[in-house]
Amino acid sequence: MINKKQRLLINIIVLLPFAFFALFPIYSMLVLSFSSEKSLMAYPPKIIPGEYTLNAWRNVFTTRPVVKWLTNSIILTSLSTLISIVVAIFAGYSLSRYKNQFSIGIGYFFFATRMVPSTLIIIPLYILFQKWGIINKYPSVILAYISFQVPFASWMMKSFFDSIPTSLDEQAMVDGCTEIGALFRIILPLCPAGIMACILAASVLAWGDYMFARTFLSQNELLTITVGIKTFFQEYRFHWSEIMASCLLGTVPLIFLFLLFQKSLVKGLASGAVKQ
Amino acid sequence: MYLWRWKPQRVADITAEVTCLKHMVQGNFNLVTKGKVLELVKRGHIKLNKLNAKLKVVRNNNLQKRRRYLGIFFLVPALVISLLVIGYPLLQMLNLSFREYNLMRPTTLGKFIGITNFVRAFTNYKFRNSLGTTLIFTFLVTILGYIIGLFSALLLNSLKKVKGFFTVSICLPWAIPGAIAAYIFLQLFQSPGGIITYWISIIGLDVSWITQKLPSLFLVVIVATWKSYPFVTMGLLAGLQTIPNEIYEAASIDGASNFRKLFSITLPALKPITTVLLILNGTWAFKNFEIIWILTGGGPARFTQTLGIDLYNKAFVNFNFGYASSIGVIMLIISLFIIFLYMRLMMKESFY
Repeated sequence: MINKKQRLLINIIVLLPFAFFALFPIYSMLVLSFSSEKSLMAYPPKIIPGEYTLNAWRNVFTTRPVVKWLTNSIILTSLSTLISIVVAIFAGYSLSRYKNQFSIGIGYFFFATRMVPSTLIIIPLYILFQKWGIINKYPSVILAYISFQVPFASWMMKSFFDSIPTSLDEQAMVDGCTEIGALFRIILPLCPAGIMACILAASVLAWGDYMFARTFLSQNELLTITVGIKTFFQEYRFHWSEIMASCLLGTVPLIFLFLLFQKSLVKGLASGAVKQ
Repeated sequence: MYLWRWKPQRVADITAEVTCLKHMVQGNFNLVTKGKVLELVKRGHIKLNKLNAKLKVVRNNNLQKRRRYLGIFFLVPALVISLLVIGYPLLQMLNLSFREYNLMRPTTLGKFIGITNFVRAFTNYKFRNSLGTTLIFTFLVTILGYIIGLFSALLLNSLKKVKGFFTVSICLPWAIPGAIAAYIFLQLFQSPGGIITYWISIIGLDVSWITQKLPSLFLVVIVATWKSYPFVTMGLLAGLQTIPNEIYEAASIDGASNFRKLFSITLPALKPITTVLLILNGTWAFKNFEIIWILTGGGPARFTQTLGIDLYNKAFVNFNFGYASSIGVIMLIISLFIIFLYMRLMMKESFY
């Protein structure tokens, strides 16, 4: 019979292709950004290319305003996430503790919004923002990001707050706490994992957005990093090492955030999704 | 109505009494128990007229009014934002779909033309094709993503030591933005120099992934699956951990094989979270824009053009907002149908 150790080994061997499938593109991005043009054009292409150079990185920073793009991404993502989380905390508390017909309907509306494609709202938003004159400026993109972050985050907050028994804040209120006090002193400190999961999820959604940034921003200096990389494809010949280098620049902040929050994220998703 | 003289006894009593009096001063009679008030009256700290009636009436008014206002007040910012950035655009899109709003024909901007846009859409074979492509793409990505996610979750669940490494590596695609994943895969599947093209050509298939029809669909489905299956894995892993081990052990004692255990214990126990994941993944695939746009832009001869790509093309490349809005309304109807399906599934399911 197969004993435990052998079973574990078989398990790992079967998992290796999955890990390879998942990691190989990221590995390629890393390696190719440091490869020279010559090794990129070599045939047959090798997994571990021969020559390494920093040329691509130098070119990326000199030919395109990549630092500006990164700054744009960071500012837009953090501003919109901040606003969305604050709004979502209050909305989630309301949806969780004050259940009447009205708020239950709103809750379903928020949940349904997640299933509505962003492509549906972009046309009217574009016309509206053009009327307001904020096309090609930060507020248009921030408002667009908030549009999908707030319902999603509110619903997540609601399910986290639902997992905390109401008797706790009622106890606090008997001792003289106001409702807002109960929110900030009792409930929020009890689910830091949930809030971190929410922040991470909202940031990932906003950072990786392509459609809104591309439609609402047209000046080269205002682009976010995901859209900016596309400009590398406008040349006659694609400099893949430069493209890979800029992709790496666009990914590192997210991976950093992700690894920071990884543990709380799994815990957060579990209680958020299963507790429907 | 109140007397402030009181004789302190135990610390707990003092806190309770002080809180009680404070709430009475503020009017929060819902937080003051009748027993406490009676005790204070008995001890002579408070004199109240018509104790019962006054307390009851004030308590109800205060409680309901205050709670209702506060509840709505907390919800107002989120509501305002949603109505402004989602509600208004949806209504406006509905409005636009019945009008001619083509920036290339400024003379008829905004004219009401009824369902002409919809008729144009349904009589256009390109639109019908994109409808079919959307369904195929969504279906493939959802099913593939679920199967791969299920496998990964099952394998990950039985690991103990190296679980961390494998979990992180399998979940990493979720952290990569969809657009950047598309850029990377563009290079890997590049026809002259991409490494995956080379591997596939070793097997004998000489394929140009972007310019041929079926391979481009395959490419788009692969990238979308790569991006979306970590979400399924994480959800299923969390769900698997709620199944107690004793059930498996009992089944082993009864002589069940591994396959039987999988189909009779694991899958039924995962049914609720499977529903959630399938629907969420499906809607993500349905509304996905950037992966297809960057990889094929609609594909060789519109082969990989989904509804979202079609809408965006018509709106921001051809500037025909009216026609694009009608496509949007059709997408909205499909989304509403999916939402309705999901609600019904959630209502029917018992979660055990």
